[in-house]
Amino acid sequence: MSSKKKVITLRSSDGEIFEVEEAVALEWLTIKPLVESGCTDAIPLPQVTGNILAKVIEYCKKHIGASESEDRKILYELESWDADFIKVDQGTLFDLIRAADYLTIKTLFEFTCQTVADTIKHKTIEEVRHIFRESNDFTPEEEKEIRGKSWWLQGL
Amino acid sequence: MRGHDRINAVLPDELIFEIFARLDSKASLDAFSLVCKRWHRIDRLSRTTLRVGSSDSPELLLGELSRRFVSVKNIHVDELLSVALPVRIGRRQRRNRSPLLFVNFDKAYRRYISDIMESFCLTDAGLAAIGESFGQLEKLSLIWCSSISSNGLRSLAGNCASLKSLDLQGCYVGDEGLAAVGECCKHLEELNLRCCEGLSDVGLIQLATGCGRSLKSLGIAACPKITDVSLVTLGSQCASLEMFSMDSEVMHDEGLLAVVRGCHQLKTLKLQCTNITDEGLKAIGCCSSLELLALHNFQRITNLGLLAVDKGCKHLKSLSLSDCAHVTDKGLEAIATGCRDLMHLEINGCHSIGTLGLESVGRSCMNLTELALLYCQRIGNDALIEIGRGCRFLQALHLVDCPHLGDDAISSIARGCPNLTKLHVRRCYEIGNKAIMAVGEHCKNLTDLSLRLCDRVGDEALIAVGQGCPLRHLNVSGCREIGDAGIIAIARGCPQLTSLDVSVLQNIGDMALLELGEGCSSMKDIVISHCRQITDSGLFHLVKNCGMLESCHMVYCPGISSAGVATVISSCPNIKKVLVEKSKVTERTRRRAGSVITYLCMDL
Repeated sequence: MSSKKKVITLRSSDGEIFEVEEAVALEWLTIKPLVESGCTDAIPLPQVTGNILAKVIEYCKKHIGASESEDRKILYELESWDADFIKVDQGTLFDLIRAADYLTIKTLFEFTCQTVADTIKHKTIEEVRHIFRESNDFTPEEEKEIRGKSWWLQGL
Repeated sequence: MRGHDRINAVLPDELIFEIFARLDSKASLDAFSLVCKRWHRIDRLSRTTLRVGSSDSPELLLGELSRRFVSVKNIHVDELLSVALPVRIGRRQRRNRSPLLFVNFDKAYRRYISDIMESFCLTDAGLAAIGESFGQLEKLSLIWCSSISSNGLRSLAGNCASLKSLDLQGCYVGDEGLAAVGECCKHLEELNLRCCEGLSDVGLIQLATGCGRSLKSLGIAACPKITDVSLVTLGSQCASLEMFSMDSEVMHDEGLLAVVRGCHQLKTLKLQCTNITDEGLKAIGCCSSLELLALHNFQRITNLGLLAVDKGCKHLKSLSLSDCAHVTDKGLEAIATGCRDLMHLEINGCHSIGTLGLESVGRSCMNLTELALLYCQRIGNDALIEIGRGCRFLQALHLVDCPHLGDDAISSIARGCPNLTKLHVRRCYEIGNKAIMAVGEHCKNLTDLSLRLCDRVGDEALIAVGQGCPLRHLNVSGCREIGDAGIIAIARGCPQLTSLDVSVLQNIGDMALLELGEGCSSMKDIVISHCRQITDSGLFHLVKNCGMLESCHMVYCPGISSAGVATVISSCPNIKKVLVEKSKVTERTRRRAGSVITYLCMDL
């Protein structure tokens, strides 16, 4: 409603233009100096595509102010919002990690990395390979050697 | 294009490393590192902490580890634990140990480690090998390594000049070893000497002379040959000491006086010394930066000693008094009025402290956030009424065996302390529905509620809690008035509940479990032991929706059969612990999940 709020313009790698409130952009440490310097041109973000940037903005808008809230109801609501937000395919998830890293958005980076870590916690090697569709590039000999030496590895 | 969005194609090493860093267990890291060559390399370069239980050849193991992991800074060797050689799943032996022994370990690791094989010991040669292989070591814990001696410690110290933290709990090392540490490790900041019976004043004095200047934290407990003489040296050498903990029957006032006069930075002081009198305690008054004071089993001190503390320690934030029989209300009052920053207060078995003392805390200590009263026979309702009036920032209240605290006390806390997140009550028979209903009405932030053996708390109370509090943890073990209606109200009102203990509730049955299954899908730990009305059918409904369940205790439940146990195992992919009678585990279940099942007979 309040049209007074300062708006920052961003341009994604594929040329899409986004507008965010200054308060949101200030949370992104990479562009913070630019924003503070009063830059009025569209800030180019050559490493982030439009669809990912849209997700990032969505997350940061939701979280601004709310993360520090003391009200448990709000925090709980935020938790379940997060859970829905992160229901994306793996490719998007990895892109979000890279975007959060590139833009230096601490909360989003922590959240996305933890999400990947949580999906593979307590899984076996085979399950982890299956989850990431990565194939085993050890030769049988190498694997035998590593496993043989790593006899403290357990529950494989 | 397929494959384009794979993790290895998209993420650079640094980001994969960030994900590694968020795995909390060794087992996960191990699995992660064997997925592919790249991950193996990243793990090799990034792992900084190794934890080693006893194994049949620690030297060989450590040598192997040192070749594989090149950035190690922290090593924990704990011979109370035993890491296993590879074992076939389902054939592991399990030995239960006191959970206290595991205090330094995260949960996942504890589970991983609790599979026990025969134990062997780290020798001096092994210790020397650690020194040779891990020259950058900063933190080393050697817990109950019974075979190491001064020789091993000396060779380690010689190689690890950057050591900052050393824990020698239960190691029988001698004075020469400790002296060598003092001589070589000039950056040592933390030292734990608990149950190091081989040490005497000679060793500690040499250590203090060698590296006392950098020492910030020192713990001495059950070392009968370390006496006041050592403490005098500590006082003169260790000017930066911030934490000092001492449990000794041979120390006297003289030693304590020397430490508190010499170590002006002291922030934390934990003492259990029967010989210390008011004279020694008075000296504590000169520690102007003291923030935490814990006094255990001081039979000789009286209010006189505490009066000095309140005069000098204006910044005291935490006070714990256990079994100090001669400290009375006057002493506590002096502390309360003198130390207005007090945030944590624990009074345990001090029979001369009563209502009046606590009332003065309520009047003076506005910042109190945590209060624990254990075995306080003389503290009555008025005490907590005053706390409720004065301490509106209170977050946690812990009451055990306080027979004179009743509904009025808790109601006042509920009304006056909106930030209360944790309320634990055990065996306080005067506390009933009225109290807990007030909690439900006023404590909108309460997440952790434990009411054990509270005979007068019933369904009405839980209905109010279910409507008002966003509980994550609930324990109502042994509250015999509670039945299905109360638990159902919790199931409907507290969707975030992750742990629940309803053991020994004779009136709860399958309906309660059905509702819990529907309402609390985040449940991780549940204890339903000694619930005679619960059957397989209830269990089936519970696990149908609670896929996150990690532990389930269900002994002495005659209505639960092997079919129910099998349901739990097969429905919950994350299950880590099941406690049940051996007779209820079929061969098939055992084959499937032998390693997560703990049998009742083993617990006795």
